[in-house]
Amino acid sequence: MILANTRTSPRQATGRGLRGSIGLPPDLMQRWQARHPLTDGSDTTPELQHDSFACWIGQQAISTASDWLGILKREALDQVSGAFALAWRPAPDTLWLYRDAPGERSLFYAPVSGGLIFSSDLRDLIPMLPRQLNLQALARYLSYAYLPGRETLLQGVYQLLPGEALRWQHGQLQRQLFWELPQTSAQQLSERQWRDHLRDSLEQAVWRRYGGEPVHASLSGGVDSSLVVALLARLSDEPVQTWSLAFGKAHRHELPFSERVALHCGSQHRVLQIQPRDIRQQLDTVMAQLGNPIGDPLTVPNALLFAQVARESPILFNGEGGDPNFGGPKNIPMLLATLYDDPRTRADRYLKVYRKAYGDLPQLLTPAAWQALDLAALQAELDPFLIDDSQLMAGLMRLNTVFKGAHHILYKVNALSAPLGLQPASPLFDREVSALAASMPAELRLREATEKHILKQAVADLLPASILQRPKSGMQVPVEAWLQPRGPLHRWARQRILKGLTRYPYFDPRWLRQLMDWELPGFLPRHGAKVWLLLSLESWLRTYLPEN
Amino acid sequence: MKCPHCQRDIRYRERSGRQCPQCRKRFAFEPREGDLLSDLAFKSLLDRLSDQGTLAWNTRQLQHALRRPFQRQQFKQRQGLIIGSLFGGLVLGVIGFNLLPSVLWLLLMLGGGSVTARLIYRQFKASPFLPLSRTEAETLLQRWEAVHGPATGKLSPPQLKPATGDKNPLSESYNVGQALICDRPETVAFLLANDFHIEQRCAILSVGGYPPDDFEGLRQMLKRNPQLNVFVLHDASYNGCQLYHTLITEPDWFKGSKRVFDLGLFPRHAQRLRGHWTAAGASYQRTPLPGYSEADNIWLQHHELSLMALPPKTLLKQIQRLLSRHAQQASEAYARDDESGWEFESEDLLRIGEIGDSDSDFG
Repeated sequence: MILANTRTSPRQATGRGLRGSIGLPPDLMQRWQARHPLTDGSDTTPELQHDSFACWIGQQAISTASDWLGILKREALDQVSGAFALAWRPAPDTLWLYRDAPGERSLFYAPVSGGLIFSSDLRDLIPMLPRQLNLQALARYLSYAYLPGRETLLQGVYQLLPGEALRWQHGQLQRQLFWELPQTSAQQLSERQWRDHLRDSLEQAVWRRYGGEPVHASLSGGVDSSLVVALLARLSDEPVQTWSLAFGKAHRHELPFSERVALHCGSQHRVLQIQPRDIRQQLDTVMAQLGNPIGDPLTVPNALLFAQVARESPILFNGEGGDPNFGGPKNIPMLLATLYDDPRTRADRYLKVYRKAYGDLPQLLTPAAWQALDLAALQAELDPFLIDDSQLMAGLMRLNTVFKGAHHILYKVNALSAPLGLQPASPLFDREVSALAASMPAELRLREATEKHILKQAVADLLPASILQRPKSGMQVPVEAWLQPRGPLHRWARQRILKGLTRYPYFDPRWLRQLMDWELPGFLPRHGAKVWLLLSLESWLRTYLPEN
Repeated sequence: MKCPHCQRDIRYRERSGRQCPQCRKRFAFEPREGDLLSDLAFKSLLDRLSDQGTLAWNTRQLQHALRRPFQRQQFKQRQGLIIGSLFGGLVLGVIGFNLLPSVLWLLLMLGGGSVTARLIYRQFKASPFLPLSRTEAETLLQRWEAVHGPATGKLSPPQLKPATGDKNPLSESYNVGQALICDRPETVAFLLANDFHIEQRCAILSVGGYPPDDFEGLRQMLKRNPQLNVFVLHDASYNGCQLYHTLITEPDWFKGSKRVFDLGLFPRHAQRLRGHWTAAGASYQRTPLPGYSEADNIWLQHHELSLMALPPKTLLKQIQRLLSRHAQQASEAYARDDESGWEFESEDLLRIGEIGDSDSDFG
């Protein structure tokens, strides 16, 4: 499969990616202009650059530069829903950068010699920078499989946080949040009232992203993607075009469920089969598109699906957001740790429960890297979400939305679809839907052991009971089977990890060999997931830090 | 023997006082003076038990892990006696052949040979019972720790304090999908210390009330969930094998639930784990357990087999595998609209042959 730009952007989208600079000294300005002649220099940089999709303020769609300028001048950005990144230059010596509330768009920036350079694509910035790996960010990546927060893996390069505004003026940077996820509301609403509000919000969120027919959507067969398809089916006169991923008959899949939903909603359903060779061929292309690496095994399959859909449609709906917003599967292990009065700190527990390589850091990193690491700082980032005992579950859900939502899921779908001209539509991450979810009591989202209770209630009339009540299984890429010794990707992965990663002075070669020999200790060592995490990193380093 | 500290080879006469002549550091054991293992061999055993320091373990598991070295030592001690008897018999036979009438000599040789063969058979046939006590294992560990410091991963015995009555409000609002109920507090303590509850998203309790902090709150939480899958985990003992029946009949537990699955151990697993049995505590005749064969009930009258006979990693992996398989089968059955897919025969759920094919799995 070839990842190629096949379609233009839809009507309600503007631009795809932005870049620019301000305050650079002449020599750097020349270098920057040589690379980006159309968007740079005080004479050529437009007053406003905007990259947006499905943006609305109240009942009014936002599409033109003058719409955006009006909103910025009225300071009404906190009321805008939809995906956007903006660069506004109200005066020659002042630049504002903005990122949308949920984090559907992304924007990197780096202070350079008193000036500032920024871009939606990190590859635009790196030729202007001395490249050095940020060890603290590396530990973050190894702990989460993505990079939560402002720091990137490159020292001195940052990413705007969701809902953040950054002002550069006379070499000074000032940051402020123009929107934050609300805390649990003190409003005394009945469950029925919350449910009805949610249903309205979901319908609005889908409608605001609807770009006409034919409409395409991912359909795993889980509740989240199924409800999006069901809502789309009500909007569209033509059958919705739905897509599933599968990894061969020998591996677990959810096709019976996705086919059931497709039948129920009358969609035309297609299954994209992913083979190990697709992963091998596309890994480097895909990882190069990610300024922040993502160690999620679904990354390449997602990219292949996007490429397929982009040939037919400018928009692909997805069901991302249901898990973090509505009490998905990350909460029960933390509940158990708390019920059993686990003596570890909450942050330590959370990072262990995350099941990436946090627990392996002392062995995975070289002694020098481990000594230089500030583990307490890594944990302290989690404290604001986990410190309040009485709000533990609400804090956890908030954490999952703010961290995983913005920095993993939304970041990934945006970065992978941008080069294809495809707009990812994530209605369950809509600003209003996320805010409503965060406002309601946590017990409505996780009711006893039932995850996403209120979400299921809100769409109970749209989906078969067998889908609403089905046991959670999740989309699983068979990394364990593919990467294990004698698996189809083992030799390739082994060579890349043992030769590629050992060129960098951070990784202990003995631990890497133990990993590739499938000999890590512990009763659940999760070799496959860890190999994938490191394989993704090695591929990312080839593009972004090749000279080490 | 190698010094456990500096790895130098030290001859017996150089290591008087159990001290290395090179690094001057002490060691705990002297195999030439009757100790079971050298310091390095003991450390290697502890490393295997804790899987390179990543798992928690208890001294009952150490007791089972020491079975093989203990039997090896016993065999070595008896080896000399057996070889001596055979040699003595041979010499007497030659002498007797010259002095005694041939018929009498033949009868004496047959009689003597038969007695010797029976003696040898008894020596070689390992006893099904665990050859050392927990106290003996703990004593060895204490000696090792006195020289080398605390062993990594060692669990203290579970604290059986009275319930505090402190309620965690979380257990009143939230719930879990599966629970493991065990017959012994030490099994619960072992699983919790290894984060099994977090990894497998399941509550873990002992039938007798462990862990005591908010035990009742946890039990009530589990009872509230009609979809709860309960897995029963116990020793192959009279009380352990009774647990499943208790849970499905007692109103305090899950009376009438069809989602209670017995994972074992069962008497049928005993043959594979010969050498790890212990004698049953009760001397009186107990009522036969329903659902068990006559042979099983007879075995249970006199014997017990602890879950701790399985090495920590093997035990954890096996339970994890069973729970995952159950979840997968249930999910597949759900996808097929097969309601009976939720029902599992207990026989399916702990095949001892799948626990480990090599003897090394059993310490």
